Amino acid sequence: MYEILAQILRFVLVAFIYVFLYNIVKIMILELRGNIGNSEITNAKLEMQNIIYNLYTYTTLGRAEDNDIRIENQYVSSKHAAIYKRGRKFFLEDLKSTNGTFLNGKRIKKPVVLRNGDVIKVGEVELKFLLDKR
Amino acid sequence: MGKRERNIQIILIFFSLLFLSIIIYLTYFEINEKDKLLASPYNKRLWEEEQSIIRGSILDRNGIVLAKSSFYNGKQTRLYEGGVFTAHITGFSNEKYGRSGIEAYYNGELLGLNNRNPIDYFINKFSGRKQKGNDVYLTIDYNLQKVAYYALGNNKGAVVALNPQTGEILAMVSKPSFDPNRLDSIWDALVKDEGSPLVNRAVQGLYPPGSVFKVVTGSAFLEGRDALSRKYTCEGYVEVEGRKISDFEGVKHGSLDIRKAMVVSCNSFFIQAGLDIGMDRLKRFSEAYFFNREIPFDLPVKNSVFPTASLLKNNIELAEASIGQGKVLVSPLHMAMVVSAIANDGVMMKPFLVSKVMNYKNQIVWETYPQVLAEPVSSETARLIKEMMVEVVEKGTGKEAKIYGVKVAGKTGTAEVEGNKSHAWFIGFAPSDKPKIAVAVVVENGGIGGIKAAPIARAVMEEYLRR
Amino acid sequence: MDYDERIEIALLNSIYIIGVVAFFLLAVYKSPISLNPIYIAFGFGFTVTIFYYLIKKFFPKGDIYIFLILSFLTEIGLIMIYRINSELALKQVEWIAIGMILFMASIFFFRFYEGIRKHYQVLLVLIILLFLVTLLFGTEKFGSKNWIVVGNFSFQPSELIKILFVMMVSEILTRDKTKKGILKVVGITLISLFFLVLQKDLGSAFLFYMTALIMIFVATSNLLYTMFGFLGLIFSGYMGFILFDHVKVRVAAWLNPWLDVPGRSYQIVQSLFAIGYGGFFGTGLGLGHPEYIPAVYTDFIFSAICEEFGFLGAVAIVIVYFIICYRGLRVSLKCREEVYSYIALGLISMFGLQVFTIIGGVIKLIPLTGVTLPFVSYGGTSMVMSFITFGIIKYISELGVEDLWEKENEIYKLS
Repeated sequence: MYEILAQILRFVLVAFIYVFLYNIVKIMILELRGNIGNSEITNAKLEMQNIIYNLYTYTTLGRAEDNDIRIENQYVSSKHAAIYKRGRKFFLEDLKSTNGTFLNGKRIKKPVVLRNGDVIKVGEVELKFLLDKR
Repeated sequence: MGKRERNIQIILIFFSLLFLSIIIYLTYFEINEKDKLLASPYNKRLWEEEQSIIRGSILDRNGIVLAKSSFYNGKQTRLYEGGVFTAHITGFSNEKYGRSGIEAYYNGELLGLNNRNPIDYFINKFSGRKQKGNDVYLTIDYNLQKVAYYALGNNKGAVVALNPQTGEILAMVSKPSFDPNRLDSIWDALVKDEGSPLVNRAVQGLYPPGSVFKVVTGSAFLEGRDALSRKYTCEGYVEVEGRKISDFEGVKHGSLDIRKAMVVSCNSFFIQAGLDIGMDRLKRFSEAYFFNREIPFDLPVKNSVFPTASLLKNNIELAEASIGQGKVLVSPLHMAMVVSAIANDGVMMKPFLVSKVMNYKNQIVWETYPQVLAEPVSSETARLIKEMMVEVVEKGTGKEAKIYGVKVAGKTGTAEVEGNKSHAWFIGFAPSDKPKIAVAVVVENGGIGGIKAAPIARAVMEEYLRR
Repeated sequence: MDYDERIEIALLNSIYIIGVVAFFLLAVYKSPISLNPIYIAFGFGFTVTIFYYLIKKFFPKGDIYIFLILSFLTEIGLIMIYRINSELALKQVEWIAIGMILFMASIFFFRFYEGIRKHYQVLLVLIILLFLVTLLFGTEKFGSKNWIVVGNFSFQPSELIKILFVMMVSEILTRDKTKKGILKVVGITLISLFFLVLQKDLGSAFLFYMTALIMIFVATSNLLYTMFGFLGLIFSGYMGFILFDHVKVRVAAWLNPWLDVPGRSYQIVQSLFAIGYGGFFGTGLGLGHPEYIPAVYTDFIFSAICEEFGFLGAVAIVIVYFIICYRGLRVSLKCREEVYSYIALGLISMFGLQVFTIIGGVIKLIPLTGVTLPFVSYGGTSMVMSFITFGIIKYISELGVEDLWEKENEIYKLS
């Protein structure tokens, strides 16, 4: 009787060993892909010129190629701004850009909290911050 | 610090190779591990697993139990009711000493491993009952086996009796034998015994056939032109390239044809015939009779030997081979197959020991059906040889095999052994027109075939035909 | 929920489920149903969870997942040990608890190392002291004299010396990569080897040697040294073979174990039978026969795992160990402070080599040595020291992270 039980459950045990392994590997792959450890896709998005971009735990915006979101515009600095998640909130930060970063029309000096629907202006480009309320 | 980083990456590769080698080795092990597992008697797990299965019985063709499981203090042990008579056939299955015979080669069937019914399996596991193995039914006739065993008496050797029309082995005796029920007390003595009682001489013993091989040489001869009318002269000996091979006691037979030569077993005739046939043809004929070939059987059989062409460097070897001496070797089972081919109009049937396997619900798991193994000679040649063999028994060297009221066909053989007494051979079948049983008997160092081996064959055939 | 968090939950859940299923089986395994396994399962799951969230809260930087991986291995080991001998398992639980606490402690206390680094020579003193103590007061257990027994409590100083050794070598290599420095490293290695060989702990000797070799290679990139190192290895291997009978026995058993099955190759043969018997998914927990394998709860626990968790289970565990090495080496790679990079490298090399050595020996890839499988084998000192080792690695991993967190803390203070 125990025999049958053990024989059936062995598949469960091996399966969950692989579930564990699979998740560890997933973490490693994500770490390799992300810029920083723990930089993951969040539930917030940025809309720019009708295209929706994913926002990560730490997302950089700018003209240079290695930015997470590349913005091609002469008024955009190479590393212009960053959006990051802290706890449950999202912050917009200006990375000492030449022409400044604007939130809903106002230029920001210190990092500010972003709310769903906020409009960010970087150089001449407008981006809309979208946050899914879950 | 680029260098350090690069080096660490190299070390990372180093470690990945290490771990990869473990995984590869494990994989290789997993694929190849089976042989180590199953072969080793040191693996207690297999014996443990077997304890949870009731091993099936081995029975003769009429249902007489030769081996079965009995339970002593909850432990399963084997009881060999067939005793010394069938020790080599049943073999034994023992945790300490290993397995042999049917116990070994039909281990899977006896444990029911090959036809496990998953439903039954689970039901048994649930209720805690043991799984039941299958019963193996042999073609052996136990009563005939006993007669053969007694007939062989105190001699060393083997007796094989089979049904030439089907290939069923009716009896297979090897002596010296042993009592498989008493292995614990006699094992050491058995292993040290110079008579090798553990060896199944019927299939693992190779002997020079001597004159019984003349049926093969004769077959080759008869398939030549005008064979029946051809004559050779026998001077009592033949000199081949400086070597003198004589007839038995140097008897001069004068001018004779194949018929007479077979009846009196004239060496000179067959040597000259063999030289005329030539090494290639004789070898081909032997191989048609399954020499140098693996004989398919339920137990492993040592291949009989007809020397290969390169060894037959000179005519001396050919001459010796023609009369079944020299490098020619044959197992008793094979010789029985050879004579059964002649009995069966030139068709050699595949020999088999296991007739069917039945599960514990008495359903047949599988059955053996007679199969043709080879057709070494034409039926015409077979008929001719058969006639000659009848004469051998009637008035030739095989008179001791005569059975009242039955026409017996046979051939005697006295195989010379260097430094020892000759092996006594007899092969034959009866009744000659519709043969029901064919036998081969070899008495190790028994002397003259017609005197020592023929009566044993008679006893076996007589017993069988009486029923 | 973030991707991150989802994976964390999945990892924790797998640990819970494996624990519950396995310990449930162990609870009903023997006739009077024992509730102990259930307590262990829940206790373990609970403890791991608490510790993990503590780490996330107080030490959120660096590699936080390493703890989960170690817990996973510890759990598998605990399951197997309980299955083999429930009393040993209870002891193992104690060691695990101590280990995890010391894990946290090491992460915290290792920061103070920086302050005392200038007195690094004390490490050498400690190493020699510990070796001497073992030599003079040590007792022999399982064929090697590297245990100190005080009453009921036995302790393997060599496990502690491993850590000190790595630290010492790291200090030397950071300061001096010239021939002089290398000679110093070689010197310390030889001293350690000397003591270890005296204790007949040839397995550890091999680990010390190889680790030193790896560290020298990484620090100097000097292929000549590396080559010499390898030659030295072959030479000492050969010497070991000639001088020590039991090395001869082990090599013979490795080459052809079927020659003397009931005698010299008994262990490895039984191990092979167990591994072969498991098939793909294993026999199922409790259905194998680990009792046929000698020293099954220490050296041969991997064979028992192969038998009951199968080829697939065993391979997964090998991969997990590799991933630990990978993550450790990554920590070493990313760390900009040389000495800490070396320490991480050395600790991981010791660890990885040990794992390779024992698993390799048990499956007959290489001859057997007397080392155990960290986190899985039964053994207090090894468990505790291994946790401390990874506590140190965790600390070092924090040094390598870009200062996102610093930034956030700043912002938090400002806003």
